Amino acid sequence: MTITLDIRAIKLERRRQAATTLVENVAFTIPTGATLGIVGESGSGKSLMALAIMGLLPPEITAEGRVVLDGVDLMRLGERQLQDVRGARIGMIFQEPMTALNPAMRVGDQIAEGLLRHKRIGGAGARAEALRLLERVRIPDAARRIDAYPHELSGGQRQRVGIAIALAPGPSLLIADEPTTALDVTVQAEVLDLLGELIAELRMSLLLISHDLGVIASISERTLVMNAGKCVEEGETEQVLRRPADAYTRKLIAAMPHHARDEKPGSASPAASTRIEPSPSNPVVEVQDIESQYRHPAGQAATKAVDGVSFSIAPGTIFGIVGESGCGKSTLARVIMGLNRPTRGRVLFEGEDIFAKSRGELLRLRRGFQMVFQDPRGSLDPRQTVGSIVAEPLFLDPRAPRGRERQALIGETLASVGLRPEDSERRPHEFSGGQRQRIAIARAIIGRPKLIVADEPVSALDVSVQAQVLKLIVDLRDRYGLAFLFISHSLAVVEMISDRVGVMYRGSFVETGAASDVFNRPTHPYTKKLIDAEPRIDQPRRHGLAPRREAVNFEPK
Amino acid sequence: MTSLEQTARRFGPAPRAGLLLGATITGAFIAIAILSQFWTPELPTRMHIMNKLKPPLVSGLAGSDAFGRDIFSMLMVGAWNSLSISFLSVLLGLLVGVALGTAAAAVRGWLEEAIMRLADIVFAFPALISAIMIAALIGAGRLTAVLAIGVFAIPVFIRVSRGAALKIWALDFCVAAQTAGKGRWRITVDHVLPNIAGTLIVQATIQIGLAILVEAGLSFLGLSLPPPAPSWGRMLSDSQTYLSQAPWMAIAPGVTIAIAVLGLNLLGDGLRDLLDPRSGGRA
Repeated sequence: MTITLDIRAIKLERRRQAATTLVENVAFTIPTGATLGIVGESGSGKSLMALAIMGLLPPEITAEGRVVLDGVDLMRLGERQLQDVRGARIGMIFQEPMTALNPAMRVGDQIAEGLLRHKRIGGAGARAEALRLLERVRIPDAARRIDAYPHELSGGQRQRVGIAIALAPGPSLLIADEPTTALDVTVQAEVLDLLGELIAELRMSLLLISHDLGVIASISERTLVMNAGKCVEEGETEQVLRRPADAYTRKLIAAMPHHARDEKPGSASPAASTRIEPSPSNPVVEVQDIESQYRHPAGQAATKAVDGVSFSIAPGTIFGIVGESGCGKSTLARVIMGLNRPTRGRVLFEGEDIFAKSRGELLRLRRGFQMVFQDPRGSLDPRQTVGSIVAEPLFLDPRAPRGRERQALIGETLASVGLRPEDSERRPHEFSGGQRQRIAIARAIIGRPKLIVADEPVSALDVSVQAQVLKLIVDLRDRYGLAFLFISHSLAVVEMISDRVGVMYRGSFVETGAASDVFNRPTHPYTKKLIDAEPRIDQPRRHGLAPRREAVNFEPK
Repeated sequence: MTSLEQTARRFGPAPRAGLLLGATITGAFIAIAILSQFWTPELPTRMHIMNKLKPPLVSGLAGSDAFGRDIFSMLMVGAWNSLSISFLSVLLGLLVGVALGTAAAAVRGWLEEAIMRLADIVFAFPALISAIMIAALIGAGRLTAVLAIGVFAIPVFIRVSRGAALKIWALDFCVAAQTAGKGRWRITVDHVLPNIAGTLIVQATIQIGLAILVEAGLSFLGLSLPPPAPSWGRMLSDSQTYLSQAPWMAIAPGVTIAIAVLGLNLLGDGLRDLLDPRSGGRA
């Protein structure tokens, strides 16, 4: 199987509007058993490539060019003929395993569906084959899970089922669009490993689309970098990453959160020289033995989301918490913000227990700590102007300036996060994701708080925007002596930005200490596992055709 | 980090034709309703026995009924009666329903339970039954119709506003407002209501269309405005006996009701798209 793609243009045509060109001049060939990764930021047109190959572009979008699969141009085929190609010859794996699976259908039936459509096989045969595939993608206890519904499986298991569905009709090309983006880092490593193993074993080709250079580097032989609808660079992965020819690729690589691991400790902070030295005074916040339980509405059983966490944050420092989904880090953030009452333990803000305060006193204390959220779309009220969003924490503050002075303060705050004072008249939807996160940060700092709790503040952002927002956070710490509680699932981000870190696993810290110590000399096996699982670009390919040891000297066919 | 689904959804046509048509139809009906209070081609209550059951254009634009009254004039005044009753009743339902629904979403707990069960109970009574009960208490008339249809609309607005408000409450900006020290009521006014307004306006326009139908049903049964005040529903009911002799007596009010409801539904759908700040329209 060889697929050759030569897209001259993908255009969006709307009635009474000039056509917009979304993708221009992208061409590549994937021979049998080869892997190609397409990397690009959101809006670069990388997902459109997958849709164009499958002939699934929305009606307003047209593609010009050729998609040749073994000598047949897919773009010339009719809908019926394309249906025989989709699934049977080209399999697809989606980003969200929850929405890609039909929630009302047993997973075994969903796998059998493709088999029955594309192969001459009976119901019993299809079921046996589905079971074999489930075992192949290493679903534990497959004989029982074949009759499970998607919601009964974990995220990683769902994505394995998604892979099994794609594999079932025996395609020769797999297209995976952000297949691991919704997964935790350790699960991601397992899924990538499985994917690599399968394509090597079944001699399939893989087209992997991702925003994450690390993921691409860990599995693909060749890499194609897309920016704003154009292919800026294509080549062997090693070469693209080590000796990038294009300025955009270099920018993308530079924007990846760096590991300070190989450098001398302390160099992680870009503005180290101008930094206000953290005074050895009392901590801004002290968290003492917090426990937070969830009681299930049905039974008596209680789950401990947070179980005995203690730490403190000194003024002008960043405390990073890293952990996977469900480890309790967001619950902990809500407790520290005083939004959830813990079942045990105390939160001392500048020595005062926030849960022992009356409502009025708590409101007064709250002006000292603010929050920044993950999704900049959900955290800004779309109906309000940026000015009134940013000014929200001044509500209830009797000393807050009014009228013209307040406008000046809003403008000044917007300027300090890199926006323009005039932006206060606009509404959130007019801004990009990174700019919205700046607005959210402006809202958090306008009342001059001592502490900002940031829950996954850069996870929804593109890597280059992420680097800018991280720089802003470090800058604010240094300029205003702000303390941050920085929560993230990404090791690299936490390591790059934090002074001290806590590694959280199932509600407790398994390891705490200075960031450089924890990441350079991890003592707990879970920390080691996390560090190992993280996809990085400074490592040779780990999964797929040419495993680790041969990767560096890999010769293309 | 966009999935295919999001990529596909990002490019969609934004038809404005429906909105324009809906607004035109609704606007025309409102204009006619207001005009009818000052001028109609004929007095809608004047009977011309000699001129009875004349087809359209032979007598007036839409013919005449069994008493020789001008159907077009009756439709015009009927527009005033139907629309005023529908608007008032939906306004009643909207005010009470949204107050209860957003309160349920803001407070949660037992209050939410109580409000929602109350809505279930009211919802179990069809508008006709509550109209008959209210008419038995205060007699048939405009107030009866407004109350009956309004009460029937309350649970609809409770459910819609609670559901929409809960979605807004789950968003981070409500948490941000809490950390800024705002209370539940303040957040409801500042953040929840502006964000559910679009949904409510859409629901209200559709509900007005529904109210027109219910009002027609009530006056068909003689539970709304008493004769001789013309109403679309009673014109339909009066036409039954003459269906074979004078079909226009049924067709004229029937088509009028259908067009009015269609206009309101088109307007509602169009407004929903327009009021979404992300679609580029300004609220």
